[in-house]
Amino acid sequence: MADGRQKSWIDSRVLSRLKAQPLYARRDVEGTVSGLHKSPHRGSSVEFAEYRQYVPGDDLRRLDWRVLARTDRYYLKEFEAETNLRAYLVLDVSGSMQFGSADSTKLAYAKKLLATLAWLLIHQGDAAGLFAVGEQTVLDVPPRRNPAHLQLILDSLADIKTGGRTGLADGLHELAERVPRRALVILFSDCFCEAGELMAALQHLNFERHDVAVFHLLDTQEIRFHFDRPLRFIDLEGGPGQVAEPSVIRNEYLRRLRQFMDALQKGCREFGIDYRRVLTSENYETVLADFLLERSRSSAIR
Amino acid sequence: MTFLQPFILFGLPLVLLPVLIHLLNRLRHRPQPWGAMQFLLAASRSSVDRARLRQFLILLFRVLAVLALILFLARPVAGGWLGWAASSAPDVLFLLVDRSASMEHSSGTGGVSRREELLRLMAESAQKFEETSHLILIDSALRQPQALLKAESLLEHPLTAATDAAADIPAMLQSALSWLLENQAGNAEIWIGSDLQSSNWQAEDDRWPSLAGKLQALPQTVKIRLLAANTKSTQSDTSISLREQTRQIREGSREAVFTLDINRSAENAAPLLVEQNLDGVSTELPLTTQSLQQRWRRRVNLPSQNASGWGFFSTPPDDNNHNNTAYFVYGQTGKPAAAVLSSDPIAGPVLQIAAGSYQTHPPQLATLRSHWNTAPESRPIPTLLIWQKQLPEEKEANALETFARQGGGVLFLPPTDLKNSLAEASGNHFLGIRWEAIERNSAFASADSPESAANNPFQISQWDRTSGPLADTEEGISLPLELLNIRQRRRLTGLRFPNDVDKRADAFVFASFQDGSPLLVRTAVGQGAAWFLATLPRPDWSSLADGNVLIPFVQRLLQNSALQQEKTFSAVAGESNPAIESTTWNPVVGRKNADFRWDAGIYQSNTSSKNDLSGEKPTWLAVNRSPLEDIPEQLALEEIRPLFGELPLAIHLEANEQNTPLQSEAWRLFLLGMLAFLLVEGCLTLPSPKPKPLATHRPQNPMQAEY
Repeated sequence: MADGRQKSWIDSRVLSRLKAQPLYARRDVEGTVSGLHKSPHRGSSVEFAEYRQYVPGDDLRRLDWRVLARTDRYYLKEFEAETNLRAYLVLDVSGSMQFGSADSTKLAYAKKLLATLAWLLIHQGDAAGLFAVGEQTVLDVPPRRNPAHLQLILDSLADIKTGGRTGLADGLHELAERVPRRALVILFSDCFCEAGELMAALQHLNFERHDVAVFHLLDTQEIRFHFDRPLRFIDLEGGPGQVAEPSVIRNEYLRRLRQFMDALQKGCREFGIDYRRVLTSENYETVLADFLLERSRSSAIR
Repeated sequence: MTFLQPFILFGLPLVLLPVLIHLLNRLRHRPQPWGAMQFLLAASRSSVDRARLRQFLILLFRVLAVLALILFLARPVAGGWLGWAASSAPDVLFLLVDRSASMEHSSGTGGVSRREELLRLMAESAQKFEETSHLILIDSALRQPQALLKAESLLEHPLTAATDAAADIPAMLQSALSWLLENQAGNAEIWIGSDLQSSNWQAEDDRWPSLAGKLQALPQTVKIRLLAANTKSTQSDTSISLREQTRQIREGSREAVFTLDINRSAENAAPLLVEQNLDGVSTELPLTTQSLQQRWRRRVNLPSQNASGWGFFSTPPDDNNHNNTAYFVYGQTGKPAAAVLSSDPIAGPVLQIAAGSYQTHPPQLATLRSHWNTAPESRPIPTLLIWQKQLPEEKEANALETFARQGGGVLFLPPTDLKNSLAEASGNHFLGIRWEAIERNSAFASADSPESAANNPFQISQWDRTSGPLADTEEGISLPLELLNIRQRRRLTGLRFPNDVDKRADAFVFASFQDGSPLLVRTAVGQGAAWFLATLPRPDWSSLADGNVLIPFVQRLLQNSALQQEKTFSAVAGESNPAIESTTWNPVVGRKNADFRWDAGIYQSNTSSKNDLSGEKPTWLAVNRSPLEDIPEQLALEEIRPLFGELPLAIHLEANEQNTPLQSEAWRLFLLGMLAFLLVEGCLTLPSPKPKPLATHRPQNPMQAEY
């Protein structure tokens, strides 16, 4: 059963089109092996970095003999280190993620994005892990780079339990504390929690020098609020319901939602967080393609 | 405010329907799972006050709309500005104006008469229908439908001026009905302005049920609106009317004797000044009376035998000046002529001899109907008719009554026909007076000797020696009535005396027997009189045939009856009178531009009558107001409603409507109100303007085409 669901999340045709575009980190990351991404350390790649005077203890093999022959001085030639990426794919599994006005919920959409990115990451030699946050942290799959790990991630996605209130901010704080080295953190959430708390958590990740990307998932109905009759709104996160006349509260609802999203976007921009607002009605392939392309551009500029 | 369909008001609880639906709708809210509750809750909290107010207003306007709908369906009738603003226009608007004399009583406000006040109210109310409806005026005097262009013209229209004629409300309605039938108009309203005088409305008349039925059966809707001037005036009112006018010669001078009825609305100790005017010469006569009703007899000396002239009696101005004057005319008297109609072979010739040379050939009763004025000169109508046979049957009685009313005299003598049973004899009557069975004198029954007459019950004990046909002569010689031997007589029943309430026939006894039974009785009928003599000039009845009483008696009756046959014209305002209608009459005394058909006054003919003996003297006509107008009784409102059957009827009392136009249907206002409420409700329920949609983050990517 899990296989069937996994298949619905991963489309081989989409993968074949997306894999041509590698996923780059926008910051230096600390990996364990050589890879596509820049490391904060000097290494042995083909990318020249600088000349440095020899000091006793340096490896003589790294002396630049040409400089020695010409100037009779001892210099070392240093190169950029390139390492692999460790990506933490953070999935919000609170009750509100189960909302969907069309045939797909926000959670299902997020799983598609997450599974596809996990596949791309592992297939380009990076490590991918899964971190699911509900009211508390419900799942923590540490990043690995072997292809078998992908299956574990997909299985975990299939078995994940959803519901309850959002504990996203606490979960992100926990993640920031737990991840020792610079990594890529990609969040899939509707972000329906206190904007200040969420921003603080994202700032915490940023402070730990993680590369953070946010997929803010929204349903069309949530941003349009088109209802023609009074409704009894039932809180998917288990809170009290509310009988309301949509036509009466619509303006105020949209004003507050806009205010929230603007605050989120502005905060992310300030901290250099990659924020993108995604409607579940959009084609997820396009969303991912945009994401990858923009990342590769910003990586090239750097 | 009243309602034409009040049972619809039972639907008033339906105004709660919108509230009920609202509550049910709240219970029926569809559940909607929702993720972004934090924004929804915040939005609800901040919008709740405004939303509640809006919700309340929406519900209020829905309730008001239903209320207006129910009131609209109940067809409200309202007065004042509400009714004015809301009524719908009929196709035809009949204005039935009662302009009878009684409508000239003051309405209680500012000295304006009831008629003027009602006209003002009608004109004000009808003004708004000028453009949309045909205004048809039907007045009480002419009763001919007249189209009006402007409602205001009611106030100045010659056909709405005061008259002295009585109104015939059923006839006015009949006129409106005929117009509707002839013109095939649309919906109609009939406005009646009247003071509800019983004699004008004739509630007992057979025409009412048929009228109401016919109006209701019309294909178009007919509504009746009655504006009743029922206010009682606080001012006192005195009315004077001429009841009887007779002529006599007294001490060689010619006299007219007027019997006048004077009615006062309130007792007043002060003497009433009655103005007597004879040919323009005015005399004031103080009349001291405290009773409300008084009959006053007044003798007036007239100029000369062949003179003709006019006069009037009038009381001072008061609440209603249309009942203050009684007009009369006098003229040349007729020539004595008698006719004897007797079935008795003995009494008949005696009576003919007593009537002397004045006797003419027996007249046909039909010719008695003709007025003396219009009869050909060659064949004068008798002035005295001596009727010695069974009392006349119905048709003959009517002819005789008409003859007497026009001044003729009729002397009735008892029939002798013993073959006729008593029952049959008593079947006939004249003015309710009948002959009893023959009584025989007991004094003559036992012994046929005059000596026994001492205890004779049929002895003539008293008679009027001062006036009448048995009076003493000018030399003071009395007629030998005490010498008469009466053997048989017939008593009279059905006599009414002046003290009785019934005014139809007043009897005056001129002579009576010892036992109190009358011998000679006079009953006034119009200008003439009917005389009843209880015995006959037959040897077996009495010694009248001796002639020394009978001849002077009959001759005096003949003279008197000729005196009453004056060459004058008199009429009652508003009553059809073919004898005068072919002549043109100009008002002499009375209101300016008065019309002899319905205005009281003295009129003079332009052309001299064909039968005018002199051919030079003017011909006078006295028109008095209808006696019906002196009956003050008014119909109660509860007596009015049944007259109109099932027809929609709205009654407005003038006392309540003095400052407001008539009531009218107000449904239009409620319909407009309902639409307005629904409009406001619709505006309140309109959705708010669309806010700008929220944009998603979509970077412009030239390489996007690759995917």
